[in-house]
Amino acid sequence: MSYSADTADQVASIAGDKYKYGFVTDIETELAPKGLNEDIIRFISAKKKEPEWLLKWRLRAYERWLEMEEPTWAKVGYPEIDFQDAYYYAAPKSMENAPKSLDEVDPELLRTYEKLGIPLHEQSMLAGVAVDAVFDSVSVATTFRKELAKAGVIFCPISEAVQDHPELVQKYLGSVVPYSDNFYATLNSAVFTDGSFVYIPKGVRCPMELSTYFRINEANTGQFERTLIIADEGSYVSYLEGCTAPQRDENQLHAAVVELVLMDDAEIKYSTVQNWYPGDADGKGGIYNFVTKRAACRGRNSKVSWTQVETGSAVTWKYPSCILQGDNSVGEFYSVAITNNLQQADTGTKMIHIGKNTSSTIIAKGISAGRSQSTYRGLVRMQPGATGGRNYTQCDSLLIGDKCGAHTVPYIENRNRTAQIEHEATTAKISEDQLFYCRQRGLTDEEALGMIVNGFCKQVLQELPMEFAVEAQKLVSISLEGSVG
Amino acid sequence: MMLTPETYQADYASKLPGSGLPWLADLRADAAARFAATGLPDRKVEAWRYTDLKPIKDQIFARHDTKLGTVPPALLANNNRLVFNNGKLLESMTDLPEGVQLLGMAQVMSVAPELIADHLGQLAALKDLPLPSLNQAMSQDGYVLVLQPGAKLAQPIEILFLNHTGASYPRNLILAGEGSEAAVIEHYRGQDDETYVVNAVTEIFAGPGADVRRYKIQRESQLSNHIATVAGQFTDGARFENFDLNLGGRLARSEIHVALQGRDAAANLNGIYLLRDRQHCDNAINMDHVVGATNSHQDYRGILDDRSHGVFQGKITVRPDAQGIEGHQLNKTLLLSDKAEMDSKPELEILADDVKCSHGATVGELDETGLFYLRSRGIPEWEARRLLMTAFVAQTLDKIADQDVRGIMDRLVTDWMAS
Repeated sequence: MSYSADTADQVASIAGDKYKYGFVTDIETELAPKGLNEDIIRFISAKKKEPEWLLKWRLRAYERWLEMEEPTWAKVGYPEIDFQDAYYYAAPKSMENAPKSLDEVDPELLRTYEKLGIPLHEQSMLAGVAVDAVFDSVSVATTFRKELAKAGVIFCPISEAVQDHPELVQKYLGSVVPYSDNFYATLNSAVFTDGSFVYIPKGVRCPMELSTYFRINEANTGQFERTLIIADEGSYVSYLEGCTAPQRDENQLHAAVVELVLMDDAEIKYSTVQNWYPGDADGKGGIYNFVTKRAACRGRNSKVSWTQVETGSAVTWKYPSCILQGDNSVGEFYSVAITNNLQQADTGTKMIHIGKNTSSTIIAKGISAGRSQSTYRGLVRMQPGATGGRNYTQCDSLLIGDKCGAHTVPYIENRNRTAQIEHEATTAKISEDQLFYCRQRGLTDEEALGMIVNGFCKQVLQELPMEFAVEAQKLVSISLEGSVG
Repeated sequence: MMLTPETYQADYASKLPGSGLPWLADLRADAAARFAATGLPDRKVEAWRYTDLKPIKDQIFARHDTKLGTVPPALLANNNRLVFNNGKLLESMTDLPEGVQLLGMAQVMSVAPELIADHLGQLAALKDLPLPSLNQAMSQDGYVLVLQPGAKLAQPIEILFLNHTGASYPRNLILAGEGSEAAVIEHYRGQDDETYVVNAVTEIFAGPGADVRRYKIQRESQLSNHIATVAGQFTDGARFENFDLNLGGRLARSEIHVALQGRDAAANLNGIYLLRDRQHCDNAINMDHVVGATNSHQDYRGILDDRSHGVFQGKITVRPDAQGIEGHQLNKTLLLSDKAEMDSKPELEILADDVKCSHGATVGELDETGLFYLRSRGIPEWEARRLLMTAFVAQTLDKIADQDVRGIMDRLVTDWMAS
């Protein structure tokens, strides 16, 4: 190979590394007509062969949404979104007649997931992880369903759950995030297309990790998925979520809703590695990630743990929350949010303590580089009944470069004498001494930065399931490339 | 009642001191128009999220009579003080050191308006705030403290605001020249069982190296509404110490806007709020690091009993390129009752990277272990509680630089705990 070709290859591989998921799968897609109106909602509902009650629910949400205003309180800025200029349904043509098994799934789709590092062949994959792969508006495959069924666990696309387990869906859908909750959740309620449904029966410890991989592929579409996880008495599940999108100059909207319901003694561990396309160095393109995630700890001694690593998206607006209703219930929120270039992230959590002896922990680490803005926004509220409630919050921000911003906006509300809330936050720049120390020992600027930042995030990253933790560490370093030196 | 620019001109403008001065008339008309445009802020305004002004809606334009309340003895042994009765100057002071002027605002407006013309109402932080605008439009009096460069007030001065009926709008101005030093105690005192509104504003302009200390003691009546806004700008090396002791009022709000505009400027903002019954007290702080090499510290502590409601909203802003900043903030609250509520919102907005900023907040009850320890050593429970509470607030009281003032604050805090 000639010298110049070699160099060109190297350059290409470095550029590719920055966002290696930026490719587009060339596949025939069926689209609903552009725009948003009642007919589109009826179209989606008909496509999914939904019962009447669900269509009515969607239409009620749509009616409500028309009266709502887009929230402006978050510290993010973006041009006005034209909700009529997008497709609300996009599905690979090959999915028209739902494939019965993995062997029938379009090989092009399987290749896409392989390229993303998510092999869908059960035998060859990461042992012990069942995957639901959502491609634009449909779920293309869900692995290990038989094995899970043996344990009584239901893990399927939500559109299928509507058909196969309507009683569960009807009972719990919208019970944590009502259709009228907020602008984006209401929009999602009207137009949601797919997502995962999980039910863990009484006393069952889910035999493997469950995972959903979201992929936006088609241009000018939005992805509106809806995830519903129900953990019945004494059950346990660990659920992982990953997402990527092609590299495009236009912004794309992702407005998801995740609802978790926990009964007595149930536990859900919900981990997210959010790596939507963040836009280029000049802030062109990228995903608008406006997500509502909420867990209702209804039962006694239930526990929910949110762990998120947010590295992607042009704009993030996301506050995974816990409603700690059952006595002794526990809520945890571990978050790393990294913004670089012109990314903006406004993220945090809400811990609403209702039951007695409820406790919550919040560890949020924000890292801003380039010209990005990162905000932690959180609420801790002790209701009058939260006797013995306990919260500990720690928010740390790290600034890399003098053009970025880091903000902390916590709301602390205590209405119970015996409840205790502790909050601490710090903001500082990356330590020159630490950088110098690493460089002096032969590390490059970027290696040193990656190492220090990984140390800063360790408290959160160690909460991730192992395979994800390794991936996340790499992601942390990659996201900050080009921010020193 | 509504205020419009027309009703303002007809009912108020001409009756105010200095109304013949065009610049002052314009300043007031502009402020009245600003207030008329928004009215009182409601809870949808983020800065008023936890404080509801509805109860004062009908009182804010109430007229007060000029009857004289009982004037309490002076706080300080030196008897240095100014007395305002319902916002109007009653007793002035004559014995002042060289280079120090302490006058009534009304008096300055009529005899020496040039003293304040460049500064009154000029702070950007106050421009868009409805209550300070209303104060600007309605104020009849207040104190003006002018310190010539290098002038020093050896001892603090008490400024007593005695309030009983209606609504009053004290407007105060401190102009501290280069290297000057002064300490004032703004003492707000109400007559028992009187319902009224106080909407006060203090503006501070501090020149290079000036040292300004403002201590506020708020002992309004338990039925009153007290809103005080302080705004100041501090140039190179200027220092500001502010301490708020909040004891009185049914509804109290203390809002502070500090802009550190010169290198090495520093601000120390501390306060204590002790509430019982249905008292509501809101401390809102905007700490703005406009330039680099400035630092700030905040320490606010409170004890809430009965059905009282405490609010703390503290924001530290570091502007772009303001490098080399240190900004710290602490808010701690003890809840003594099952019906008390505390809402705390410590906020950081950081747009430069060479900073060390932190905030901490805690809300909870008295430490059970500490109580047990003291009781196991034979100290009765009530006394053990008092000891722990005293120790809790002492850490903030210790930050008061002036020892005389520290003594006064100490006594008032002890009285509150004993009652």
